[in-house]
Amino acid sequence: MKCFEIEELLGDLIDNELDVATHKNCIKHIESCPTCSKAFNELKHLKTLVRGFPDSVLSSNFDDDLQAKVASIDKHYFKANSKELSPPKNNQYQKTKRTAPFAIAASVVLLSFLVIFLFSQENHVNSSPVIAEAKKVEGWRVSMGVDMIAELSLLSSLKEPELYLECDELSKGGNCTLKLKNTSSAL
Amino acid sequence: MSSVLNKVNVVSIDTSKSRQQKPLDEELIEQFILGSRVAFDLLVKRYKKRMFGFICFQLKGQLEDAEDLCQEVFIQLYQKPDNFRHQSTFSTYLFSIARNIVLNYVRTKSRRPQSSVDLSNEEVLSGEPVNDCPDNNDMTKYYNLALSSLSVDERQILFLCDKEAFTYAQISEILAINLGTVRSRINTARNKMIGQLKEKFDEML
Ligand SMILES: [Zn+2]
Repeated sequence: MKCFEIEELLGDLIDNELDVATHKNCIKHIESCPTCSKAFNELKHLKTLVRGFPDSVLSSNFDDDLQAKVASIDKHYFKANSKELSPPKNNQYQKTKRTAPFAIAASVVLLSFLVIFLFSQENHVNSSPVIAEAKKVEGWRVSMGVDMIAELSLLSSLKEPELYLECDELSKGGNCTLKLKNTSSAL
Repeated sequence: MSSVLNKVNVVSIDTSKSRQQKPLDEELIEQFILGSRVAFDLLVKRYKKRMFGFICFQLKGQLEDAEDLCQEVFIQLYQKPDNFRHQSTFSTYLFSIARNIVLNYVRTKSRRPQSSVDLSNEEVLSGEPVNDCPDNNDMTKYYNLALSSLSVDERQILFLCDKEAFTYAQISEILAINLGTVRSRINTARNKMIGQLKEKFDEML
């Protein structure tokens, strides 16, 4: 390769954007060419310099300020329903591809809603405590569509869910069984 | 019924028990869309420093505004989490929000002649060095001076490429420019910097 060609590629080289063969050719040239070697080293120094640019430090009240701003948004949106926990959301969920564990985590939440609802309707029991009631439904089989899984999504993946789900298949109409982990110590 | 739902919500997003794997950004944004404030707070915690760094790098010497702009990034996320379409990673998405906020800020400021801050003005860009620099030694001084010769666009790309180590493809998403423009802009920015540094502090490079 010629110097003018290398010169064009130095940026890509330093940013690791070249294919392996071109990368090797460039390095080979640079090792034997003082001019290109100098230009390469200048770029390398600059990159190191920018990388080491001191981080700006946020003031200590940044979080509080942000929380206050967010709270004022909440007040604006949720005047009608003070019990609402969530931020404003678009009702049209996105039909994106989800992995099976993702969908399972999602359906745990959905099913816990469904099952608890059904139980409180049929048995006329008090609606709390939730976990205790949910425990009774071990072994229930619930049929649900994939769309519903997608719509609710995972609230539960931040920790291992108390409830878990076994699904025959995740295609539409697949049967799922809601089971409860042993939570007796927590109750 | 609502008390049941709330109870389930609380159970579901409890983070007190540590989990082996940290949730991905993309999982957190999904959870937030479905109502988890914990997920939102985690995203803020993860990204606030990076966002602030990116904004400060573009607006040197105006840290008060930078903090407001940084909060604005998260407020936009809070108000319209659904705008994240999973076509990119969450980080490139968030950086693109920050980039737009800074651009709007720059445009607004430059339309106000009475303002003490005019970003189209060389004097402002050369501003004071970031006031929390640990050591304001000669190198930092020359470095800041060299940076002042760059446009906001050029600072942006230098930061994304060298400080954040985004790939050209990711930078093209964040800045909404094609790969060819990414290449030419980063090269221009670097050549300017090197030219300035050579001029001001020759022995450094
Ligand atoms: Zn050469």
